[in-house]
Order: sequence, then structure tokens, then C-alpha cells
Amino acid sequence: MERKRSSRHRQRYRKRKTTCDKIKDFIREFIAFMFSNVGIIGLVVGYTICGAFMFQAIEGTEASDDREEAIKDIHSARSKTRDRLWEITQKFNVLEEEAWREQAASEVLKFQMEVIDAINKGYDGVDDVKDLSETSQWSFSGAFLYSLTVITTIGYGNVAPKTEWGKVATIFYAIIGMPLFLLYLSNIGDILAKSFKWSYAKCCLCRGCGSNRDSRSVSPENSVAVQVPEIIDETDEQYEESHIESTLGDSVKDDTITVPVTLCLAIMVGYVCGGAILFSKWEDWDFLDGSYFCFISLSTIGFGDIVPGDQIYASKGLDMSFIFCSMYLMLGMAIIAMCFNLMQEEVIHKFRSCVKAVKNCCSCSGARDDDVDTAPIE
Amino acid sequence: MASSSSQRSCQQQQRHGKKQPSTGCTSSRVCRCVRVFFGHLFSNLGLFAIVVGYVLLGALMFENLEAEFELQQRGNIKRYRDDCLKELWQITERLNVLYEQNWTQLVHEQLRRFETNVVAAAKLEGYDGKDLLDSERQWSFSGALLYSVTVITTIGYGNLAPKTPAGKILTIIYAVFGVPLMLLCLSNLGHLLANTIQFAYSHVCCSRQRGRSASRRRRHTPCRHVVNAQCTEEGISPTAILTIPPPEQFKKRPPPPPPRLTPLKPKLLAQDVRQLLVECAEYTAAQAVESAASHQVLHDLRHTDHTALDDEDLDSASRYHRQLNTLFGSSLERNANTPTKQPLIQCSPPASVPSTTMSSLQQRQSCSMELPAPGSACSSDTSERSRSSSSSCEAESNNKRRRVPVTLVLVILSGYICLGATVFAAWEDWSLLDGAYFCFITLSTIGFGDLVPGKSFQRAANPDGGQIQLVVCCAYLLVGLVLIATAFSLVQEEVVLKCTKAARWIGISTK
Repeated sequence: MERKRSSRHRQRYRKRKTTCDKIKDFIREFIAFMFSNVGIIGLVVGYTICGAFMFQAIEGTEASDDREEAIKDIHSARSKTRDRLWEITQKFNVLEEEAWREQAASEVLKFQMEVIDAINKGYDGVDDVKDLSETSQWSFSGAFLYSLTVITTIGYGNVAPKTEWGKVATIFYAIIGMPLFLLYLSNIGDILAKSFKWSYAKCCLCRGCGSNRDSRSVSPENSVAVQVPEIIDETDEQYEESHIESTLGDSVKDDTITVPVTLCLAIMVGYVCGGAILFSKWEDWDFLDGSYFCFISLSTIGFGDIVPGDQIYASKGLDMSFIFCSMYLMLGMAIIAMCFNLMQEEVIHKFRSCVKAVKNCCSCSGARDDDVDTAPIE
Repeated sequence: MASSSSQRSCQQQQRHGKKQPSTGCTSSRVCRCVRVFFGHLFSNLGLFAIVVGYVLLGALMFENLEAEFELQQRGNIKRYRDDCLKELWQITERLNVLYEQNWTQLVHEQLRRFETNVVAAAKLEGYDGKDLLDSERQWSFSGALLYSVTVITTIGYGNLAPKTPAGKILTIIYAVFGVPLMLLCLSNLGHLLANTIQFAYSHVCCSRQRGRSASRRRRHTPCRHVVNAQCTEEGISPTAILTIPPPEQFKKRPPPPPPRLTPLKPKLLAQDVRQLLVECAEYTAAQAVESAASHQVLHDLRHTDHTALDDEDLDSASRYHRQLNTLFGSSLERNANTPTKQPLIQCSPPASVPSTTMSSLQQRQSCSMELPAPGSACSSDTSERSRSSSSSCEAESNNKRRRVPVTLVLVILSGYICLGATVFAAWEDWSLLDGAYFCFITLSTIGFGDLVPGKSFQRAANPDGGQIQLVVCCAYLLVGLVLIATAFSLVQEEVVLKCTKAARWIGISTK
């Protein structure tokens, strides 16, 4: 009896323990999933959506206030100029063209200056105050695109915060969002690179490219972050942060299949061109403008002079443009990360051999003594 | 590194070249020049010069391509204005009897049309509201310079953007080559600066802790070889400071503080050296298997002439040093599990200015010996030994070297942002928040372009001031990016460590 009671005690104790542990385990697994490969997409999208709501709340009202003001300014400028012109016309009993013109010209010039001022304030051609809410820059999709441009460091600037709170919020949003997005890029780039390599290897084998490997022994090469002190770039240094986690459990398999650099370049160029065609059809741009926009966006330069959905008297198709643009950007940057991943080793290797060849060439032709480059002791 | 090696090889070449007959001289000289050139090209300074040249070239090209279009735009606006006026005049002429309402309605329409044209020009064609006769241009040389810099750093303000097709194509090509070049340059400069700061920091930091710490480590020494090389070439510097706990430590007493160091004179030094070397040799003789050699060394040490001259002191000291090194080095491989897994004797290069530093006890370059701590296991772990004594000196010296703390780096970065904020806020008549916002957005390469320096100056009648502003902005930008690259380089290790720790704590990774 005692044993049963004690065992029941133990069972109950174990149960309590296990539920608590279960919760902990569940939380751990959830966090691990979120920061792992697939969950990070959800994390980034969620972060962007939260940012969109936040910025819409902060900036939306202020922006429409400013724009209302600008519209009022324009209206008053127009009527003022009109009245002044009427006065001028009335003044001249006999209308002489030149005199009239002189005076009217100065009025029109003043009107132009006021239009420019209103444009700087945010006027973009929308005349009626009633239309403001529909064509607001800070609609949800506009704010979503804005948040995305902040965390990807593209930073268009066609939509920019004007309030103090908006600016402060942007700074903090960026401080947290940029590493998150880099994590996303490295993880997704890893996954895409692995799967691309694997499918490329399969393709190669299926076509019988003359390799002696067994189909089963071909495995996707682990993307080990190669620390090259000379040539590593900033973003790769940040990739390393997250690479530790993704490469910890994997074993580096000895595989010599590398995707050729030309294929990677072709993929990137193809993506840019594809986007160019789509955007030029959608936004009524020409092909050059479309490819210019795609390139400038994907390289994170992001001028913001040409942005989809940013026309004067913008139509109602605003939302779809922005959302599609955001998706294009997220996918595009992941593909670029993948291509960098695939090209990295080969490019570095080629660059090094290039440099070595140049040095050897110079040293060979100039060597009169046995002058070997001894590594300096530092 | 490349440049120094090429320089050395060039020096050797020169030395040999002098002996060569004059017939092969010119070709060898040419090849030498080419080699030096390439060596410098791929070095840090060369890269930086390439980037600067690339930016200047880009500024020239873009200015040529886009300035015309800008002037054309101003001409267009003037034309719109003239058209509007003409229409207005025609309206006024046409109506024989001027009714106010009729007339004003037509005029209103005209004004609206004019306004639409102006808005279109401003939004799509980059019209900035200036007149044709204004000398101020957006696409001046400094404006184009800032534009080039924003392209290759991927900041991309957008206040200035190419409007001609040629400009757009050129921008794409310019970016394709410029962005990797810039990243390469930044990473190189960042590493260089990071190493310098790290060295300076450990220098300064360790100098404060000289009393407490009993070991000095040099960075990146393949220890034994360099020790031997240094000691044979240059001998022990007169400022060698010995920081050894006395051998009583090994009798399991709490280690007494290391002896206070007096100003060094060679004779005293020799005596000190001998004293401590004697103690070391005694200990080793007690421990080492190869006791014959250690006894020999002991014998030598005890029976030297103490009244030798300075030079002989140094020579004999270096000789003893060498002997002890070989002795200790071999014994290291057999037993003596030094706690820091470093060889027993390390010698650092002599101080560059020996005379001035002789009296200064802050000189950290030192000959130091560390004896095995008491109670450390004498079981020789040969794999550890071979690893430690040869290859992982670097990593260990990295670990032992004081790493610049993350907080310091963050403080430096925020200080730089605040500095830029105050300067730009003062110049551009922005608020402090606007200045900080601008600096942050610029240095993170987001680059909205809503706030760009040089605009307000252009409004004032001071064209030169506006240009200087833009150049200052470029310089601030570049220096800031280099600082950020340095910061990444410095804190990378620590951040990765902390992240893995956090991941392990959370349970993501199981290692």
C-alpha cells in the first residue's frame, strides 16, 4: 500500500513536473521554430505588419493634416492669383499686351513658387480634400512597403516620416528590424542554396554529365560560412552570426559539385528582367524604367524616384501594387542571398587565383634571384 | 601584408640588382615597378585610392549626363509659364465684354493646367523650382559626387536621381562594379582599423593591470620560432621586465605579489635576470627528466662573472635565455602543464625607443616566464601539448588578449552619430532630432533622402557654402561607414559567442 501511495505521489509529481516542462519545451520549440528556417519568414512578415500598423497610426493623421494644409494653400494661391489678374485686367482700360503681360507674368511666377512650396509640403495633385483618405500615402499597404524598405535598408523616401514620433519610431524599428532581416536572408539563402544545389546535382546526374558519383551519395553541400579576412563583405560578416546556428548540427559533406557562377548571374539577371516586364506592364513604364527600378530596389540603393503606385492622382489600384512590390522585394533579396551563397566560394577562389597569377607573372618575369615571397612574421 | 612582402622582396631585388649587369636592368626595373604597383594596388591604401578615384570619375560622368537635362527642365517650366500667359492673354482678348465670372473660370482652368505641369515636373522630372538664370544647379560637381557616393554605398538618397536613359543605364553599371568595390574597401579598412584599435586597447588596458597580471602575451606569435628569432637577432631589450612569481608559489603558499620593479640598469638587470633564471633552472632541474642540461645551465648561471660589462651582460643573458628556452621548450613537450598552455619563455621585440622607456615601468613589451602553477596535473596530454605549442597560440592569445567591450564600441558609434547630428543641425537649421535621424538613416544605408544637407544653403545666397556642405556630407558618410565596419569587426566574435550562448540557453542548439 505504501508503495502504491508513494508511486502515485511520484506519478503526480512527475505529471506536474511534466506539464511545466511541457510548456517550457513547447515555448522553446516555438522560439526555435520561429528563428529557424521557415518560421523566420513568418517572423519578418509579422514584424513588417506590426510596423505598418504602427507607422500608419503615427504618421497617417499627421500626413493627411499636412496635405490638407497644402491643398488649402493651393486653393488660396489659385484664387489669389485669379483675383490679382482680374484686378490687373480691370486696371488697364486700354489693354496693352506688353504692359499687361509684364504684370501678369510676375503674378504667375508667384503662383509657381507657391505651388513648389505646396509640393514640398506634400501636395501631389490631389485637389479635393475628400479624396485624401483614399489616396493617402500612409494607407496600410503604403505603410507596409515603408516598413519593408526600412528593414531591408532600401529606403525609398517617397514616403518618409514627418512627425518626430515617426522618426524616433523609425530609428528603433530599424535597429531591431535590420538584424532580423539579415537573419532571414541568411537562413532563407541557406535553404534555397542547398535545395538549388541538390536539384542541380540531380539534374546533372540525370543528364549524365560524366560524373562518377553514385546518385545516392550526392548530397547538398553544407554552406559553411567561409571566413575570408580579405574579401569578406559586411553582410557576410553578419551572416556569420546566424550561420553558427544553422551549421551547428550539420556535418560538412565532401561534395565537389558547385553551381557555376554564370548560372547564378543568369538567375539574378533573369529575376530583374522578369520584374521589369511585370512592373512595366502594370505601371505603364517602359522596359528601361522597369529594370532600373528593379535593380535599384534589389541592390538596396532605393532612390525612390520611381516607385510602383506612386503616380499623381493615384488610382485605386494602389494597394495591389504595393503588396506585389513588397513580395517581389522579399523574394528577390532571398534569391540574391542564395546566389551570393552559391557564388561565394568560387568567386573568392577565382579572385585569389587571379591575384596569385598576376603576382606570379610579375615575379616570374622580374626574378633574377630566388626571390620567394616568404610569409612575414607578424 | 602584401605590400610589405613585396617591398621586402623589392629591397632584396635592389640589393641584388645592383650587382647585375646593365643590360637586364631596364626590364627588371620595369617588372619591379609593375610588381610594386600591383602590391600597392591590392593593399589597403590602394583600394581606398581606387574607391576615391571611382567616386570622382562617377561624379564627372553623372554631372555631364544629367546637368543638361536639369537645365532643360528649367527651360520647360519657363515655357509652360509663357504658354499659360499667352493663353491668359488670348482669353482676355477674345472676350469683348469682360464678365468677371466667365473670365475667372477660364483663367482658373489655365492656372490649374499650369499647376499640373509644374507638379508633374517636380515629381517625375526632378524639377527643383529654380529659374533658368539661377547659377545653382542640383547636378553640380559636388552634387554628383554625393550622388556617386550614395550609389556605391547603397544609401541611395533619391533627392538627386538620374532622369535621362543614359544616366539610368550608367547608374546600373556603376553600381554593379562600385558596390562590391566599396564593400571590399570597407571590410579591409574595417579590419585594419579594428586590429589597430584592438592592439591599442589591449596595450592601454594591460598597462593598467601590470601589477596584477603575471603574464604578458603577444599577439599572433607562432611562439617558439619567433622567440628564438627575436632573441638571436636583437637580444633582450634593456627594458625587459620580469614578472614572475617567486618559486615559493610552488610550495602551495598564496602567491606573493610580484616584486616591484626598480629602474633598470644593465648590471642590475643582469643580476635580476640571473637570479630569476637561476630559480627557473632550479625548478626545472627538479622537475625535468633531462636534468643534465638543466644542471649545466644552473652551473653556468651560478658561476658567471657579475662584474661583466653591459654588452657582455646582454650577450650572456641572451645566451642563457636561449639555453633555457631550448631546455624549457623540450620539457614543455613532455610535462609541465602550463595553465595557459603557452610555452614557458616568450620574448617580445625590444622597445622601439629604448632610452626613453627605460625608466618607464609602463613598457609592456617584456620577457616573461610563467612557471607551472602548483597542483596542476603533470600528466602530459600530448595532443594538447602539440596543439598548444604550435598552432593555437594565435587563438589563445586572442582569448587572452583583452577584447574591446561591446559597450565601448556602441558608445563610440552613438558618439559619432551625435557629433554628426549636432554639426548638421547647426548647419542646416534642423532640430537635433532631425540631425540624429538623418545621421542614423544615412549610416544604416537606408537613405530616405527627405533630409539632405545642402538644400537650405542653396536657398541662401551662398553657392560655395552649399558645395562645401555636400563634400562634408560625403566625408562624414564614408568615415561613418568605415567606423561601422570596424565596429562589426571588433564585436563580431563576442556577439557570436553571446548569440550561441543565448541559443544554447533557449535550447535551439544542443551543443
